[in-house]
Amino acid sequence: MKGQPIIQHGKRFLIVIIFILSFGLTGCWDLVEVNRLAIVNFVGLDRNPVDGKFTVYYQVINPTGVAAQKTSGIKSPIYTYRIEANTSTDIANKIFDIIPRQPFFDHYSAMIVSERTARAGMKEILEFMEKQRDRRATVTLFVTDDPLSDIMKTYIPLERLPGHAVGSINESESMQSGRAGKQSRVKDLVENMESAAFTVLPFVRVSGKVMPNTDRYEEIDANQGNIVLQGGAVFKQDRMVGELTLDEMPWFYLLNGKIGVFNQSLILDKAHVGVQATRTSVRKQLTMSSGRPILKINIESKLQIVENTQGEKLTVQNLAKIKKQYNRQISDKAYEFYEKAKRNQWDLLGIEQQIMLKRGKQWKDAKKDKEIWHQTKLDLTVKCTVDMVGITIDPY
Amino acid sequence: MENARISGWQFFLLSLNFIVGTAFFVRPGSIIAVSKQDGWIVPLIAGIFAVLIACLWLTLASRNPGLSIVQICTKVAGKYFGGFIALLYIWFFIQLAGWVTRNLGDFMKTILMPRTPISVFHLMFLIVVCYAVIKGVETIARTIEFLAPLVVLIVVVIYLFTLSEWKWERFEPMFQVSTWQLIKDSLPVIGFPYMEAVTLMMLVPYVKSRVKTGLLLGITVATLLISGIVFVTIGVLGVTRTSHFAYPLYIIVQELQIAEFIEHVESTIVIVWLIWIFIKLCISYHCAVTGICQLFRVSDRTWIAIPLVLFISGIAILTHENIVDNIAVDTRYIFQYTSLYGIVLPVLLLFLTWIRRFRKGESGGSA
Amino acid sequence: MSDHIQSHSESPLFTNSESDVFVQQLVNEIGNPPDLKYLALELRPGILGSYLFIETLVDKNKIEDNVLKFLSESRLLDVSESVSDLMETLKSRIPVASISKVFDLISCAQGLLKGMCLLVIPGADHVLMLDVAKSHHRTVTEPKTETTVQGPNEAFNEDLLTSIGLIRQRILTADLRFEQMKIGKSTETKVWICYIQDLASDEILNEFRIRIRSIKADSILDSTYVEEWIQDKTFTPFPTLMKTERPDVLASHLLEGRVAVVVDGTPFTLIGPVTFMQFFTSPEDYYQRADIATFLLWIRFLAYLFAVFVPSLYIAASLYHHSLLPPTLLVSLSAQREGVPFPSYVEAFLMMVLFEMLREAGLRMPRISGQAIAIVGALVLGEAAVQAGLVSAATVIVVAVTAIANFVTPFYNFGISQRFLQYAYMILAGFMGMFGILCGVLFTVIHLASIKSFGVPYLAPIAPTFLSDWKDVILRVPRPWMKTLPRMNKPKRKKR
Repeated sequence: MKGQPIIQHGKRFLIVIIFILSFGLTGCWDLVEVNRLAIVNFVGLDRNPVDGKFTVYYQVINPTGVAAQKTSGIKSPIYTYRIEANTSTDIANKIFDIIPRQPFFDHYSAMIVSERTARAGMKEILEFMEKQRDRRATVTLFVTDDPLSDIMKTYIPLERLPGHAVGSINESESMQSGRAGKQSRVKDLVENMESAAFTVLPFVRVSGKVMPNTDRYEEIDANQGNIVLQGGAVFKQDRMVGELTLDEMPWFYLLNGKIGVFNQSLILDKAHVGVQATRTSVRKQLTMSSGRPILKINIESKLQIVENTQGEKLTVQNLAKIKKQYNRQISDKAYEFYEKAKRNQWDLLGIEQQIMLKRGKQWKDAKKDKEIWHQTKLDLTVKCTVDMVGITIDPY
Repeated sequence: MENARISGWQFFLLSLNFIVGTAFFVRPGSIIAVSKQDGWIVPLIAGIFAVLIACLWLTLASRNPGLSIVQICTKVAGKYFGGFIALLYIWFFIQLAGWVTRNLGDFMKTILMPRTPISVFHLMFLIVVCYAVIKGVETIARTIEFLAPLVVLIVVVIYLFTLSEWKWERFEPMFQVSTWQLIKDSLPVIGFPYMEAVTLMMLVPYVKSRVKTGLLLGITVATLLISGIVFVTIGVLGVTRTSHFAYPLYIIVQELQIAEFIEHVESTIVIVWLIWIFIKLCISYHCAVTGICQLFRVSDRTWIAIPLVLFISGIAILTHENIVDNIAVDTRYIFQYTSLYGIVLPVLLLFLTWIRRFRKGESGGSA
Repeated sequence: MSDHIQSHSESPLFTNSESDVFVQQLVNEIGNPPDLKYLALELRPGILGSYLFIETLVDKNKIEDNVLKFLSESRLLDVSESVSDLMETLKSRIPVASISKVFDLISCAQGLLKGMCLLVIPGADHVLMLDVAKSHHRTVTEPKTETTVQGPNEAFNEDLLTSIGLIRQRILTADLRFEQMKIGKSTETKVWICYIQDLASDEILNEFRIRIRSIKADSILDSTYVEEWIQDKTFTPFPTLMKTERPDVLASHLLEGRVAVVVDGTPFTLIGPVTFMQFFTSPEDYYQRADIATFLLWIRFLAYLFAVFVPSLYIAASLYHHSLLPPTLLVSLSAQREGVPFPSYVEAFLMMVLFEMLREAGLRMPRISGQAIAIVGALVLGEAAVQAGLVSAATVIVVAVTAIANFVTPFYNFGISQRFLQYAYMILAGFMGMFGILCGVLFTVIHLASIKSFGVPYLAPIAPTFLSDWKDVILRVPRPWMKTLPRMNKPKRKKR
């Protein structure tokens, strides 16, 4: 204010400015230019269960190979680095033996582990990943039984970054066909690490022969040397215990209420009707009756007819038939899936976990019996409505 | 003492942000680690106790109107004994500032810039806070008034987006922990952040209206916010993962994907938390400086405030070695330690006030 | 009009006996400039008066038509009148609106320098001073710095009286008050305080009076001279007084209970107290639909944030917080920077400074060569530098965005504050990334919170909160809803 002499203000101001400028003398420790980063896009991990040795593959993006406008001669969008080490900490050291830039993990889009690693248990690996500040647990995790080097050293068409490609395949499958699920991220596995619930991760393989050369971008056959979704790897806690085929996958997601869209082909008097369940709501309830748990599952679908090879016209009666067939087929296949899982000792519906969370007297004994989920009776009710019939109504 | 006025609304914001401040980020992890699915009840219980304790402070303040807690000490307990208590309080405020600063440093170093020395964060932030303190309590109040809505807005928006990960199953089994156990678990929460709010008793003389509403409402809303965030954390992140993380809230936001191109919005939450730390630090720093000024009758805040930058940054480095150390101290001693300042000393002061008044009344009657 | 008697005690007085000597002294006093005209005049036989004026300051037509014609008329030749009676007759009958008597040398000199014509008649005890000044001023034109598409398009000019006239034309209430002060030893500039008596708070008004009176300057050539003396804080990039050259803007502020200062010799007037948020309002806001005006207001907020934060966030994100950038953007940034020689903060600084130079060049240059600058700037800096790999394309884009956002602010002096913040944050971002920026922002907010403009906190109506004022600052509600006056100015009336 005016009361004070202005010169004092000036001195204070100077002091403040000097302080601010002295900030400048600090700082800069964490400074890294963008082009000094090795942007890791896809990580492959294999651990030999016998001697515990790690082999890690890093697919690092080559920016000039990917960016749109550049016309440099280099075509390769990615380079794969292989590192062999005894422990996770050792990996962190050895990265710098070969990668000339600072590895940047924040943005990697997928991770893949070999089957033997998964079967041996991934606790240590997951622990390490969760501890790092720059690794997100939202990365999709894949399992493969092909040699990792095959997966990591093949160029794939169209989507040039394999990490993005497998991520996108998983995502679109989960939305369009129910043959994969969004709940296949590292965090989902970690969350189930201390529970009895099962996790299913997508299982991939390389189709055809490996394509380790950029010439493949000129090759028309996209099936050669491409990464293809094959099914699901079943995990209990941190350990892989088995495999699901692609056709079984929707049932796992359906019965767990995590399904988006899925397709069914219904057989009706030798003709078949293809339906797409566009919206399915699933309600589960676990009750106990005379010492035996009963899992009630209520499935309600909204159907869209995508294919109709019947000879007759699509009438209300015919539609009723279709619905009935759908209901029957769904519950039959679901029972079948449940029985198969039980035979394999896989509690894919998470019954054991649900029993653990129950309160009350009648569940007390059940909690002690680890095997009680085996006796669980599945009580399925399926309902559906057809709300779309496609552009044509009657078949020709 | 500076001639400043704080409105009731500003005081409400001050108390709310002071309590929520660091607790919003540090507390959920430790609460959930201990009380699992029922964690969200713990802050509610702690909040109820906090309101009772706050009533004690308010009684003390209303018996000595127009005086801050340091001034009350010297007035009711005499120059030497009272001065000693006042010094204890000042030490507590400084220590508080040190803790808060350290929280900031730990967070920045773990999450954002691992190679930068921790004291750089401390010094830089303390200098900014020191500037605010020199400018006075009115400026601080206005700064908070300006920033608080912004912060709340960001927090609400971010957490609305996280709800896509919400699962009710994560709350099962509910109500497993016994009431007694819950009360026991809530003790550290009463210690931090609620008991620390005794700091606000330094600001009461500036508030011209609605002191009680401001403080009590501040505590209540803060309780709801903390309980709410514990609730959200359980629902979004789950008990298993939360109890393993140092900063679960950060992880929630880190894993948030709003749209295809808006992921990794964790920096926004860093901003929010830094602002909250700033608010809490401003208040405790200011109270330490005013306390010293009032005790030693110094008229110019500036020359007290500037040396404290170095002092507090020193304390911040010495408080604990790492987060594990911090958590251990927190669960074991925090309640006992803060209750000295939050309960024992205020009760003593209230008692002394009462004795003084009683004596005065007696001598007045005999004369 | 004016009949006041001016006198300076120390200067030699005019005495009737030695009029020639007095005139000689007067001529010497102002240094006998070439444009001083000193002519003899025979009023009646025997009485040889003289008249003096400075040619460059007076309107010769007025002297010829009004003064000389009148003096040559025969009825003045009535010999019976004494000299003093003659002076009275002259004073009351010469057809010039403003005539005054002066007695001493200094007053005479000052009068001459203001464009008066002096009539010196031996035998009288004073000199007559006739106002025949010619004003060298532009006519009322369009505003230069605050143009609008719709709405009134007049601007103040350098003549104080014209400016006051423009205000008076707009506000007809009898409560409109003006107070004149003369400031500056050498310039004696007229400074007028305007306010509406039953609106403006006395507290603020007194503050204005006290501060203007306490100015100790030798010269006041522009309103900025006054501003620097009366503003609340000297060392701050934020203006605490609004500057406008639009009478409609000034009138609207007067009608909301603020106080204005009009300075002679400049079209820019000062308005106070103003707060931070008010600098985002453009007069245009009130001359178009409320909803659209609100939208544009928000665009302006956004532009300010863009201008302040885009370069620093770019630096922070590309040097420290790479994870903030979406993966694809990161890859393309990385590709662009391949082979660029400078670190990105140096690059950004370089480009920003170059842009500042370009802008400065554009301001000072004759209009015609402006195009040349535009071509050089756009082609050489933008295109060629990127092509040659000297700077990355992203930096150029960032600088361009910032530059555009810079020009959105409706007030030029406020726009400078954003440039100041821009550079400060860029430095901080270069050293500590987001943490640095945040420290800078907190520092700025504290600074803003600590400023007051004539007793009104600078962050009002947000902090302290005046919810009822938000309708005109954060929103622009339709006119019929603006029933209350802004409370933050502590107006005497609550309702409009």
